Amino acid sequence: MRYYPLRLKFGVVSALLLFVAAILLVGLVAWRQDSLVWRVGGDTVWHAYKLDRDAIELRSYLALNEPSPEALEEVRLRFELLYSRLTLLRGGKIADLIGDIPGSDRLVDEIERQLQALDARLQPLDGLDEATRRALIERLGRLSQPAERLIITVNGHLAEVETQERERLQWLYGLLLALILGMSVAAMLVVTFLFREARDNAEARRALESLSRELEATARRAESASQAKSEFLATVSHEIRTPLNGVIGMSDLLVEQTLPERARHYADTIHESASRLMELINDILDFSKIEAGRLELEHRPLALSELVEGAVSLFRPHAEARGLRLESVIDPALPAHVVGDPGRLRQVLLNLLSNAVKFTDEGEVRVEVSRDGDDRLRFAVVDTGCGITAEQQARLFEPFRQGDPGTARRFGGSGLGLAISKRLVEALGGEIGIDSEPGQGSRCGFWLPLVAASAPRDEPTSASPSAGPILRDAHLLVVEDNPVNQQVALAMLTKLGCRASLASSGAEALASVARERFDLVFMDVQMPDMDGLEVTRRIRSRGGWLADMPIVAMTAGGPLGDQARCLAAGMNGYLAKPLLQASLLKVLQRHLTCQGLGAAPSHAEAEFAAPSPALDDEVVTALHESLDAEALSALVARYRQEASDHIAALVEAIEAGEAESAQRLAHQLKGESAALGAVRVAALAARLEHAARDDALAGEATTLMALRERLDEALAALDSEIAAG
Amino acid sequence: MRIRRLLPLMLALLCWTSAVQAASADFASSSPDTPLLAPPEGPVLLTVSGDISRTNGDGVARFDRAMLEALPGRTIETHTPWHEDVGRYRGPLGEAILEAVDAHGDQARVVALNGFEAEVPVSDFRRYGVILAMKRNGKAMPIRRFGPLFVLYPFDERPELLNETIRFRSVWQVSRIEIH
Repeated sequence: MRYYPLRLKFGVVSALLLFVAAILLVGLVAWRQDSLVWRVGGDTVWHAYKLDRDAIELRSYLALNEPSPEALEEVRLRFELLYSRLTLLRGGKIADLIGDIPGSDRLVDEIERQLQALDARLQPLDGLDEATRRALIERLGRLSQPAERLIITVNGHLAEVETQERERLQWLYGLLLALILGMSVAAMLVVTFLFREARDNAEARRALESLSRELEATARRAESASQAKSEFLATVSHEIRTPLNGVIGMSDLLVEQTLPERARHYADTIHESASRLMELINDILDFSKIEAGRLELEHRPLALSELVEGAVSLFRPHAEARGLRLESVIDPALPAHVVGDPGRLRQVLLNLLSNAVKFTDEGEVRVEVSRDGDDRLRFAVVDTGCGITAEQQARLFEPFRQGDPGTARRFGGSGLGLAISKRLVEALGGEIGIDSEPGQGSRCGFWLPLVAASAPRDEPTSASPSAGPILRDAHLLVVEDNPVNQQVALAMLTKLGCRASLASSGAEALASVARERFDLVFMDVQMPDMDGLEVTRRIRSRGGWLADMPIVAMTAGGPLGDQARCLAAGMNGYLAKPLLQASLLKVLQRHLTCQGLGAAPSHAEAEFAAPSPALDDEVVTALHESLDAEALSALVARYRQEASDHIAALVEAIEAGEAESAQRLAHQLKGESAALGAVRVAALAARLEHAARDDALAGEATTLMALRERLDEALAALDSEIAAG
Repeated sequence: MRIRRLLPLMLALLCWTSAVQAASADFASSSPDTPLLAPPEGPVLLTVSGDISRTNGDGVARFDRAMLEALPGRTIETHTPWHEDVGRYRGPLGEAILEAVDAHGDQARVVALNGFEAEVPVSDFRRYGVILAMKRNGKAMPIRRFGPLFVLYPFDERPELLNETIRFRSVWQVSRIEIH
């Protein structure tokens, strides 16, 4: 029950008591006014008075009238009337009142006696004579004395009673007044209290409102501060990433060079440090984006085993180098494909794996994927590492916290990995947790809602990684404003065998595509004059081949950059900086394979810069598997002959301008080269084939030369394959 | 069911008989030639004067004891403020007297032998069934005991009548009534 102050209780209770008392008092007053004196006091006096008066009148009548029979009748009537007054005094309430008045009883008795005596005298009379008349007058005279006394007594009593009553009533009224006053005071007390309470309430409400307004403002300020911080972080990260891209890209290239031992060590260190730094920045950027609520999730089918294997295989070399066993166990009851966000899922898995591998000195790290009930997909990374205490577990998933302060010194890392993982898993609708004991290893796991998916269509991403040769001669445009990034991109693309042109602004890019035909455009998203999205839209709007030309975005926005916006603007792919050869290659393969080769045969300046596999490993492996060494060498010998013949014939056909036979020869060359895995030869042959079909063989002399060179390389490679057997 | 079906019939019958009675009463009162009121034979107890149509000489209607006893009356058994005990009072209905003289006014000034007088609204007679009591407990009332006529309200039947106004209207020793 609510606590009410004593004052209020006292006020209410006393007001009620006073009210009841006042009601009682009013009842008492009403009852008092209904008393006998009030009701019949007046009547009693009246009748007593009339009795006296009737007696006097009768007496004067007797005195004034001569005796006669009529007079006797009149006297009798008057006597009757006189007697009736006595009847009244003797009956009903009046009698009760008379009984109450001391002395009056005796007087009424006296009156009655006199009247009865008169009656006795009057009854037997036949006539009225003088003596009788006098006797009657005399008797009536005797009556007037007690009658007068009666009037005086009754009047006196009434006066007394009335005075008493008035005093009593006055007292009662006074009391009533006091009660009403008391009641008013009590009511006032209650009202005052209620008023004060209402005022306090209103004040409290106002205070609360202003507090909430303040809080709101504070929250807004905090929010905008946090927003500003996020933006600052994003900007700073971007600014840091740009030079870092240069460091990573260049060191990537540097590592590939043949270097003296010491220089290689430096280069490796630079590359590794830069990569670590980039990871750190990505983590921070990632986390700030998640915190800012700008996390966008994908929902598409993904192959579980592929994903898990992919993640595990990334760590396998590292783990094996440290003598750790690294394995994955996938529950066969699970569907092969589930719906999810493969990028995020991989990110979480990699994070957990990296932690497990980092903190395990010996034993094994195991990834378990299992089904938990009908609707949960459970991932667990189990290690035999050092484990952590319960206390550490509690703050493990908080940002910028690590198991213990020594960890950061010993192992590095931003301390954001698990915090990011936790938020990602929660964003995906699951939960993450850890079960660990110091010295017993850890079991870090999470679950996600399980949604089975049918197998997705084969995607071009599954193109074989050795399709390098098909990139040769591809004509690309790099749109990039930053000179360092320009250098990196150009160096890498050249190394991959592509011919790359450069545009350092949006306007330049538009001019370039108007002038020349490109197989693919790499488009920086953030540029000073016109952003990549706008450039893309303009290119697309020109129609024709430009509508289908692959455009791949390059952004420094980090792994969580706005992919959707790029795709919406009409881009085909997306590449996060720093550019790495592997990802670059993947993108190129994906888009150029779709597009077909040699789309621009007129620019066949072959630049054969860096070594790239002359043979398709898969084809060679397949040959090894299906043929024995002898048969293989016979096949190679046959190919050597055929290819040389075809090239010679091609030279002739081109010189003679026989496009048709050149096309046929190129086609044959392409077929037999591809069959033996000589993909570069096949690619050049395909180029010639297209050129012949388009009647544009004039500029292909260099291609022919390149073809010879490539053929020699391929044959040499095949020979060494046979030798290796 | 049967009673319900008979009820309208009975009601209709009742209406018819009352209408016939009313018509006959109208006929009787509207006949000017009829000797309206027989002259009193014994001593006159009550004289009714004023706005009345039926008289027995001098524009007033005089009643002796027999005439009054012949009028429709009733017995009221009641306490009064002036008696200790319950009395059984009998006398003609005030309304019957007014009807007998075909009174038109709505106020009756009731005058007593001792000169007391009170105005009684004619409606009181009908509303309360007021009688002019002549007998108490079977005996004629002498003048000394509220006689010969006593305007009596049924106090026990209607306790609300116990107030000063009605007490004032309760005239005893009645000798005259003036209708106006």
